[in-house]
Amino acid sequence: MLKREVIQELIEIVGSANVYSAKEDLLCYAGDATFGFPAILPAAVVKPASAEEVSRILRLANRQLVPVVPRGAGTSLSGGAMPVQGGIVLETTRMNRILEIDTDNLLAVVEPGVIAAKFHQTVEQMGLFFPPDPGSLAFSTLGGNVAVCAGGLRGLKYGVVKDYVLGLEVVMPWGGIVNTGGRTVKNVTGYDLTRLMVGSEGTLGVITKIIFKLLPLPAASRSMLAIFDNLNNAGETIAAIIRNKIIPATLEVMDNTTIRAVEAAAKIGLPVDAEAILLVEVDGAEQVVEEDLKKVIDICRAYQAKEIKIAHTPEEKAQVWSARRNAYGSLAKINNTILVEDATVPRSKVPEMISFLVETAKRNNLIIATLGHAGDGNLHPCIVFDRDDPDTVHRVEKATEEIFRKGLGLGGTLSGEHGIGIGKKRFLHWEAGDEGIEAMARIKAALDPNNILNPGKVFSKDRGVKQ
Amino acid sequence: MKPHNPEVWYREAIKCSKCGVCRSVCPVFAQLNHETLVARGKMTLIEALLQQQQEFSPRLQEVLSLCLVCKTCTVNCPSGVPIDQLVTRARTAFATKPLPWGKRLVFSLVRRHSLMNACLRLAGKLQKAAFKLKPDGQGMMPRLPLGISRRRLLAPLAGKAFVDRQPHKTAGGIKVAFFAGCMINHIYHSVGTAVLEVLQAGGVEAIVPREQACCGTPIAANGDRASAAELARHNILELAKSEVDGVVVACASCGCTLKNDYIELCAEYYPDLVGKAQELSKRVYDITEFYQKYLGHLQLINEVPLRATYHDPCHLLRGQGISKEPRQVIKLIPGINFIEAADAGKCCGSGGSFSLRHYDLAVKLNDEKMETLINTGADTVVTGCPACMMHISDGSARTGIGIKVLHTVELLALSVRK
Repeated sequence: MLKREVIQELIEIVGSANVYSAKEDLLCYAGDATFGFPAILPAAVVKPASAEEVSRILRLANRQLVPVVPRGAGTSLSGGAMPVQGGIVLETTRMNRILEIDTDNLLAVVEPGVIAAKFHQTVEQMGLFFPPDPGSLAFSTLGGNVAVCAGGLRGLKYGVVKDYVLGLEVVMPWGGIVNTGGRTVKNVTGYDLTRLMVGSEGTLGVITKIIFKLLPLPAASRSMLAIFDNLNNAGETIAAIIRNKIIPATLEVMDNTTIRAVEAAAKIGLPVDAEAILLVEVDGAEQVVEEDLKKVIDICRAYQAKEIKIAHTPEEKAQVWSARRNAYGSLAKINNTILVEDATVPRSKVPEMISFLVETAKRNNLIIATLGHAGDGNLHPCIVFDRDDPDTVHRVEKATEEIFRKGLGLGGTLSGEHGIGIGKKRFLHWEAGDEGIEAMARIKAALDPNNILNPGKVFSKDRGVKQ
Repeated sequence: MKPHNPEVWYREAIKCSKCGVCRSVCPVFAQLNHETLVARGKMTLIEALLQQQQEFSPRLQEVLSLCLVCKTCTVNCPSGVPIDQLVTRARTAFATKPLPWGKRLVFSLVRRHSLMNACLRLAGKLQKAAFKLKPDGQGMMPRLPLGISRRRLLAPLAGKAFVDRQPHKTAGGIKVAFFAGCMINHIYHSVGTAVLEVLQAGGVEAIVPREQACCGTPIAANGDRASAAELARHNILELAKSEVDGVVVACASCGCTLKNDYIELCAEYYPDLVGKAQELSKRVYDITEFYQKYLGHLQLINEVPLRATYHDPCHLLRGQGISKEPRQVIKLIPGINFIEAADAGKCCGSGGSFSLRHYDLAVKLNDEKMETLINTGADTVVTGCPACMMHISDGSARTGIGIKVLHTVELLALSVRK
């Protein structure tokens, strides 16, 4: 419980309409989109409208030694927005203005609470392009996207959020307001605090303003779908596309479990015996797009694609993508719980990883459907299970651990785009090593000596799970 | 399966993966931007309620009341959680507590349809004492504090119940019963008349069963499912008596309830009637659906020179999956210039008694709806639900734009009327 005077001071900072402490509200702000961690109630929820208000809240928190957990739309899949040590949940959604779109310098200045999809629509109407498109695009905030360095379907060609952040306004853990980076592409003035903040999961600062780099919207794009009887052929196709120097905007894969689930739920005419489906979108100048598409089709044929569907119209494009769009929902309906992992491997190891996931499902008697961004190696094995069966939950934990171990063994990483949060904290030392964790801990301690911002996330001093 | 078993509802509630998709579709959340009020928050609380970790608090009651039951979250939920049903069932848990006297009185009347018809006939005569008519004759506003916002434009009561007006039988080939529903029975007689005109013009024998009662939607939505089940039972038996080939409705909520909710209500309270409810469900037609199926031969003789746009009622679009039929009907009518509105499927903000309890919020939602309707440049809004008609009329009066509101079947009647 917070002292009455703390709540009172929060009310003085943001107004009583923006401070919540009823049990019902606290319960709803205790969780995000992460499964499997107990909800710990915060003591208050506060919604500041400016960097100054955020600064005052953080100064108050340092005085009173109360944790502060930044939160956007609460769509984290790693527990990033969960107040695991209680304290104050600081929601940024009232800071939701697109402040500026600078067409001369191809950049935009936004507040952190802007919904990603709204930003996409706004810049696209002006013929501009902001590539990062996480699955939560329609409801997640740009601040959250920056805080976890979100990715999406276009990582292979266009990179991820960190490739588009030119500068930030950040309220530091002690309450100081700092501007990092700026409005120029080139900027080597001082430490690169921008890069430090991107992906820091709300542990090093509260982002209150973002300067994003933009691109011109590609003139044309074409989509196609290829169905394979054999998983290896699909894997070879992915490798061959890249080898032939074609970089598709998206290159997605769906495995047999996913195909069967989509067909069962949505009945869109997918062959349920197919081992894999590849979805490819190429974009760029009109002529280049046509050439690239033709080359991709030839490669798919060479590797014995059983069927190829090419979208000529927007309706056909929607049809081609309907399998992918329906995938998550179709899988979620199989049982009461779906756990989406995001271990990522080098692109060339994608077929091996998919085969391993199939074996892991068999070995642990689980349903694991794999869909994901094959082009950048960021696979999303989705484990579908009954959360009320302790034995199953145990097997899910075991399989998850096996997947992490394999991903790292193939030269990959624990998390491609969801973040570490609390979900994967136990495994961090496998990848970062003891000294790596020590480096992170020293940065954290230097910037946030009172451990105010999002405590208990990303790393912990104890060693976690044995490698 | 016993649907009223809390265990079953717990299994449904925990399917919510808390992904947050509902944050991008809920109209109430779009206005209030608060986690507790979006479907995900409500599911968190209902899950806690079912696990007995959350008591029936005033805050929970308030949170549950802030739902339009527009089903937008339900149809968009990737995990297929029946959110609207969980919310109305959670409201049931509060129904054992005393309701406000106004609602209590109305609901006790609704359960006794003949008494209600009599009372509303009387109320129709007395309404001028409590409400003043707007100078343009389009609706009325409360003079006294009645627990309804005094800025709220309401449609005047029609006096004698529609079902009590005789004769109510048209001769013809197929035989149908017209289920009027309270809004048409007591307020929008013009819609009921239009239904009968259209059926008659199409050579359909139509009866208006006098003993029909309220469909039960408002009561069930407010949590009194036992009373709603009583009404379901009454209506199922009454409609079975009339031995018709089909039951025609012109109210989106009545249609949705007769088609879907009666089966569930019977499964909970009158299991022996489930078969009859299923049988009824198959024979219920929204008037536009019925037109497409049986009245294609109807001659649309009169030109209706209107610039019209269409608003999808929640309980027609998401409740019954009907969106093409009304548009096809409107476009068939000679003289109509049809302009599609942006976000035509977005809730108008009525939500039954939601718009009485949360008038300011309902107004904000309605303002957005009015803007999209005005932007079409249409002079007439066509829709398929009397509740939407009333709320959009309120918006039209409030904003002073004077856009006309018509039911799809009224448009049809204008075109077939000799």
